[in-house]
Amino acid sequence: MSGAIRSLFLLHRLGWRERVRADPWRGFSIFLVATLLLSFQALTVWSIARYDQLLKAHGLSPAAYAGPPLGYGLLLAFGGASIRYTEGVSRFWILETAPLPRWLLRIDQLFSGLLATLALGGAPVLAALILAGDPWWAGLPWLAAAFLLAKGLQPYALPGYLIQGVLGYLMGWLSAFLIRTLVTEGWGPLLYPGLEDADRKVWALLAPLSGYPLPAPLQRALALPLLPAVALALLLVLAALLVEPPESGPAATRPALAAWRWLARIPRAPLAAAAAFLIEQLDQALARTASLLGLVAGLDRYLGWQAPAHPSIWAINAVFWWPVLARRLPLPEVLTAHLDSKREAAIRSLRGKVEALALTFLPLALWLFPWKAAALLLGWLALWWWAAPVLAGLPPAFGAFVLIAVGGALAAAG
Amino acid sequence: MADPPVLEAVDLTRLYPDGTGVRGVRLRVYAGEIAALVGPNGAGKTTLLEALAGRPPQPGRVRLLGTGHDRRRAFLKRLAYLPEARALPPFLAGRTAARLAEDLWQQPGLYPRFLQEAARLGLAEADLDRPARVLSQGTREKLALALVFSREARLYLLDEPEAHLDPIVRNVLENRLDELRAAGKAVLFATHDVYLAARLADRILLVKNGRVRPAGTKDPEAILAVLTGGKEDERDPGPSA
Repeated sequence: MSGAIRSLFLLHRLGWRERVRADPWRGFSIFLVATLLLSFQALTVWSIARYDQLLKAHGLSPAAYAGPPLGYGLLLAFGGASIRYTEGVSRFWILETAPLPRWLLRIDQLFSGLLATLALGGAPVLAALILAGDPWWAGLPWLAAAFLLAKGLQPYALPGYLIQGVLGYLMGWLSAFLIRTLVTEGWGPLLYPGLEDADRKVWALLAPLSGYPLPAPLQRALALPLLPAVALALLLVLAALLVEPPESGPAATRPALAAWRWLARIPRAPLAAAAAFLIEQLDQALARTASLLGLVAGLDRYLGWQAPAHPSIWAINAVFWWPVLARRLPLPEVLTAHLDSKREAAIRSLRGKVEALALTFLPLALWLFPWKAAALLLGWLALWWWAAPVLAGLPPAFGAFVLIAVGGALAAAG
Repeated sequence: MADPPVLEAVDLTRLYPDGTGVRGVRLRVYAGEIAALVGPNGAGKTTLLEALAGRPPQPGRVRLLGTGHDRRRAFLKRLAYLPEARALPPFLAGRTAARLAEDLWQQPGLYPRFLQEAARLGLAEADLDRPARVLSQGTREKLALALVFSREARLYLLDEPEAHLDPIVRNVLENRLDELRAAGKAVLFATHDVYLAARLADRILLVKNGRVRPAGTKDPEAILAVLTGGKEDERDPGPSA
């Protein structure tokens, strides 16, 4: 879903923003992004229609069971409305740096939020209600509620991660539903033998979110080093809110400041810089990780078998670092001004990122992976580190994708 | 025979698409000398320092101890440059930046020198550990200065090094520049502060409307009168003495 949101913004940037008008790939990029966005919406609506068909085929009233698809659409709408906007930056006016009055910027941001809400959640919400027999305008209050709730919760970051996890779960379920239906023309869990109760049949479509036991390897992956790393990262984020010197700050700040000190004193500077950069991007990292975790859990639940544990653990750990892996590490000009080329900086940055990824992966490899898979994956990371002089020239997001995808294949092979 | 200059620029020109910039600059800076570029906002001081630092390279126009921009690695090896945009990224701590500098600049021993420079500039240990985001503007400036002063170089190009510094740290800065002069380094710094330039520099060069010429005086009032004067000075500046 976050990919769909980013697609929406990329589409807008490509369509309106002055500074990308000269890009020769602009037309193709617009086509690609628009196709992605429309395909996502079309698939979602088709899935809801298919869900309704299944209900009717078994004598169940779509109106009575509109909750799940409606909820999914509202979560998408909530996600669209939750997008944060940079203060003072217009989303729609052509000239990015034009000095616009504050009231005009507020209207611009409101318009952007409404558009994102409708673009992401409008189609599935309306589809769910129409198929259930309600008029199309019945969806408007629902969308408005999602929008207002998102704006109200925006200052509080934590619910966003939970929402991301839930959305990821629903995406995983939906994706598995599509795959199963398209490939086998099966009827899904409605036809699981032995289920007599209609309510149980339908609610089997959405496993209860609380109390659902995650597959054991994933549970361990959450409990072990990733959680302490996340806890440390959250402490550092708290420390980032402080401006008072430690001797005058409250006692609760001292652990956070100690954490900063620990981070800054890592002797390997590229690794320390990558870790510090992750803290900066922690909201994205946690959101993507929550989404992927939910996706894996949703896939697992619908398909009735365990999602492949080792590739899943590898991917969850790597996606946690995605905001760092997919971007060039910003280095200060006071450093780069003395370099005859930025190549050396790029090589060291890439190595720092790989070291950081390996550091959080190593405990998982030693604890959870069979030796063969662990050796393959650590060898893959070592190869990436060694080949950094060549790989540093790749677009970072492309390189990160290859790193994670091949790693997942190696985890499955091991 | 006079010692050759550490830095020499001949007919250095760097113009922006709208025609602003610097043109036909000729200047020399010698070892053991501090020269100051003084001029109003938009005069071209930053543009000139960037051009001297090889951003972008201008082969044949600038020589640092006989090495031009065409031999970029050798040129930069002898240079310490404090650019106008020198803020650390919000996530980066000064200590990590110094270690990165030691690694990237391939100057062993830079990190201990950085710690010494940081202590002289009044930076606390905690300031070196915390990300730039939570530091004051003055502290961030001090970190950038400490990084540049810890670099071993023959020429120091500094763009408004006194910016955002309190009077105590300014005093430290002036002492540090004096030490560089005594050690035989060449220093060229840009400033708005005519009084600082008069106090510290051996020579003052006026920058106005993209042209550079010697001030011919260190009297701040006289310099201010020239800078605020209305008549355009169209003389082609000769090389600085």
